[in-house]
Amino acid sequence: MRQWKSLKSRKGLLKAAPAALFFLLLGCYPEQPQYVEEYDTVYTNYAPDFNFENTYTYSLPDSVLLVDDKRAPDDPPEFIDAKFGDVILENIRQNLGANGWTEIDEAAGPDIVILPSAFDTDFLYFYNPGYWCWYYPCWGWWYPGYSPGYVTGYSTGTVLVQMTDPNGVQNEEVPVVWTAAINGLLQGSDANIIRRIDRNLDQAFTQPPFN
Amino acid sequence: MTYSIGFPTGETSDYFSSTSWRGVNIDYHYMLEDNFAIGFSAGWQVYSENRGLVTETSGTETVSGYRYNYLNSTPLLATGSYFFDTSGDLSPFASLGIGLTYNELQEDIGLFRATSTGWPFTVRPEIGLDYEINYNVGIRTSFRYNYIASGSDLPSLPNFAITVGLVWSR
Repeated sequence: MRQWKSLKSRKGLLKAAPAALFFLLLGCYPEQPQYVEEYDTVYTNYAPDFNFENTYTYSLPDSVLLVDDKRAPDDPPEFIDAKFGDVILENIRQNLGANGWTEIDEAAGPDIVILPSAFDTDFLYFYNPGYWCWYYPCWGWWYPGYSPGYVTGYSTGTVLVQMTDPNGVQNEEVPVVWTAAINGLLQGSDANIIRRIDRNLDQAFTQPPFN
Repeated sequence: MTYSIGFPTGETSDYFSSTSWRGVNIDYHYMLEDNFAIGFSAGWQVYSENRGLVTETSGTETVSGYRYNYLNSTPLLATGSYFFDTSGDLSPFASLGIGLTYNELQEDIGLFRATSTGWPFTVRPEIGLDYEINYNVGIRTSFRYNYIASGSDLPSLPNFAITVGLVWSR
């Protein structure tokens, strides 16, 4: 066995050491996000065969659709508050305009129909396309060459922007050639939320294929 | 019982660039001979990393957001230890631990978290020094290399560690 020399004293202090170590470790919690902005996520995906280097005409609705699974798709559409919706629509206009795209009325037959929507609860990626029947033909959706994935959230806000190509309709389904999802906590002042929506939409338009 | 400071190395450095100041270990030695002991070692080391705003593209998908990585590493090892000199106050030793490590790697982006867990194989060589400060009680410091193999969904996550603590003997 090991041979320890006999000494005295200091034993009480040493007995307290494990407890001191335990409390020391409790005080060292790993760093976590401190600002609501740090919970924001920008996700984009697109059809690889669609040529995003061309310029297109596009249409935008006047408001951003509120998707609520408590409401049937054929119920009258509801929209998010204009103070948020207008920021979303204006941001899309500015970013597409910077790429040389031109907004026209949906009835004028645009190359691209843009569907901006928002969720204030769970993130419903595959929500029913019937929610858009009031705006354009009651098409289903398909995602050419990519899958937008499936993400769920909690007590979050999500802005979903889908670019559809009406010239590519097959079997009553319109291809969604670009998808952007902005997700974050619905916390902070209106001004803070508006700033985050604006900044995150800008980020979406700096990601492939628009970068 | 020792407090440990962990240093990421190898593939661990791809996830964590900074030192872990959060670690604790419990080691037990049963002396088979004057200089040789078998025993076990259990521990808990926590790594965390704020990687800031990160944009990642995979194929046609791109995600951007603030990224935080966390690793909880809990080795459970059988050990064999050799004490070079047990006659004086200073007792240098070398040890080899073999066993498993429960690793939980969390990669957060925004509100989303990807978690990978597993029990990868682990080998841990260690050199250290015990210093007797009182009857049956001493101070221990050591240097460890934890080789942690890849497994399940986890990459290999090796690390170095320096430990400082107390040792009791009967």
